[in-house]
Formats: sequence, C-alpha cells, structure tokens
Amino acid sequence: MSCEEWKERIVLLVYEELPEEKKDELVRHTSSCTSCEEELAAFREIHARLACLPEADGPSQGISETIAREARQRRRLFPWPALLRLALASVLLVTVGIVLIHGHRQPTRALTPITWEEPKTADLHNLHEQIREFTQSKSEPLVEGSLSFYRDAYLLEQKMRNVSHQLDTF
Amino acid sequence: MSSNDDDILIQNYLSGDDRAFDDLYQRYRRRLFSWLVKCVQDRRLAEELFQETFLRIIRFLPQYKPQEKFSHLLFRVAHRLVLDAVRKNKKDRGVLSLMDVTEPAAKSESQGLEEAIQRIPKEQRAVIFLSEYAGFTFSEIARITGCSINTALGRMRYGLLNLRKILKEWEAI
Ligand SMILES: [Zn+2]
Repeated sequence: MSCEEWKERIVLLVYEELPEEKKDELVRHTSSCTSCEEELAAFREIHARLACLPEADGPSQGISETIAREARQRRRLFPWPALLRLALASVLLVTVGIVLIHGHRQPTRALTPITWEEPKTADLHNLHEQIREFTQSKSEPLVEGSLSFYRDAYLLEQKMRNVSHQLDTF
Repeated sequence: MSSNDDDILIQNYLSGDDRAFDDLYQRYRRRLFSWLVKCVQDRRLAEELFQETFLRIIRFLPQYKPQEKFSHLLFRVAHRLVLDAVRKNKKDRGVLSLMDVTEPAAKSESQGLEEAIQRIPKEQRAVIFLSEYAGFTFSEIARITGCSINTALGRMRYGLLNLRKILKEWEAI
C-alpha cells in the first residue's frame, strides 16, 4: 500500500472511525515511515487543539421564544389542509355523482373551467381571523410565513364555490 | 440520544403535543448554535441563521419522513444557509466578517487557531466543523453536505494539512 493510501486511513484513525482490525497495521506502518508518523502526530495535535476551543452556550432567550411560538402556531394549522382536502374531495365526489345521474337523463353539459382571483393581503387576514374564531384559538398575529397557507386555503375555497355554483346551474 | 427518539418527538408534536417540540429543540439548541457560531464567527449572524433554520424545519415537519435522520436534515438546512450567508458576506464586504481582526496584537492560542480555520477553503472548513463541533461521522457529513465519503475524507485531510501549514507559518513568526 502506498503512503497516500495509508494517509487516508490516518484521518479515520484520528477521528476514531478506523475499524479495530485495521488499526494495528496502520500503527505498524507509521512506526516505520517518518512521513506518515509525522502526519499522524500533526493531526492528533490539531484535533486536540480544536477540541479545546471554547463553545458558545446557546441563542438568546428571545430567539428560543420566537421558535417555540412559531412551532405552536404552525402546529395548529396542520389539521387544516387535511380538512380542506377532505372538503374538496367530497365536493368532487358530489360533482361526479350529479354529472353521472344527469348523464342518464339528458346530454351532459361540460363544466366550464374553474376560475379564481388572487387574494389581497386583507382577504388573507380575514380568513386567518375566521379560522381563529372557528377554532377558538388564542389571538395571534398572522405571520409572514403563514401567508402562503392562507392563500392556498383562500383559493381552494373560491374554487369549491365555483364548482358548487356550476352544479347549481345544472 | 437516538434518532428514533427524535422521530417519536416529531410524531408527538405533529399529533398535538407542543412539549415534544420543545424537547426536540432542547436536544439540538446548543449543538446547532455553537456549530453556527464557529462557522460564521459572528454571534448575531449565527442567531439569525439559527432562527431561520428552525423556522424552515417547523414548516417542513408535516412532510418529514424518518428515512432521513432529523439531525442530518437540521444540519443540512443550516449548512446551506451558512454557505449562502458566507457568499453574501463576501459580496458585501470582500471577506467574511471575522472576530477582532482589528486587534491583531496579543492573540491567544485559541484565537489564532480560529482565525487560521477561517483561512482554509470553506468546503474543508465545513467538514472540520461538522466533525469537531457537531459530532458527525464522515458518512453523515457526506450526506449532510451532499458529497461522497471519499470527498468528505479528502476535504478533512486537506483541511487539516492546510491548518497545520498556516499555524506553522504563524508560529514561526
Ligand atoms: Zn507512509
């Protein structure tokens, strides 16, 4: 084995990742090869010095609080996408059912494509407020990161309304 | 701490137990933060990156699959943010902001070492920090930084060689 190959193992040895059975042969090589012996000693020394560097304690209390608050706020939203998906699925199911029933009696009329409008920020805040009231959760401001969730919910609601409107006109 | 326990905490959190999230956070709070401070050498920037990492993780958790260890995911997100911050910092100021570069006199041994680390290529630095201060194995580092184990090992070796060279030069002065 060339010294280059032994040297790859030296890193593993210093960081205690070299399998036990390979340790002995490496140690045997280093005791007879100045270059590898020197590299092993140098890496051990740097590793020891790096381990002695002071470590920071932790982030400020304010940051921990922000993260804990966000985790709670987000978690309350988790059941919602599932509920909305369920609602959409039931609307679609009813649509398919009605189309099928009507299909037997009269020529089917194609549904027009669903259209929707991008919500304004104020709409999203309204929706946030509605959900908050519905879930009777503690009032917390709508954070930037949640806006995309409310946008999705808003659009979904619009699309569902559009579908049910089309069903009414059948 | 086993990664299995992390998965249980995440499941508990997702099914409504906020305390489980707090426990998960406590497990990684110090490890991630001290690693970030080492990487960017700036406590305020480290705090920004720390918060951003956790906010991204929180958003991602509903999709979390235990196939990837939580600790790998956490440090992968943080590592990417560090690289972005370093890139941005370089553009803004020419160099990464270091600790007291203005006072070169009477540097302690540890300050000299920290400064030397900042002089080596960032890929090598990342491997050294992930190993020394975040306690990852080379195969884990490969997964976190998106390279092969051999590359991670090579970066470690050349990082250590570069460090030795810089320290030798400085100590010879
Ligand atoms: Zn040799």
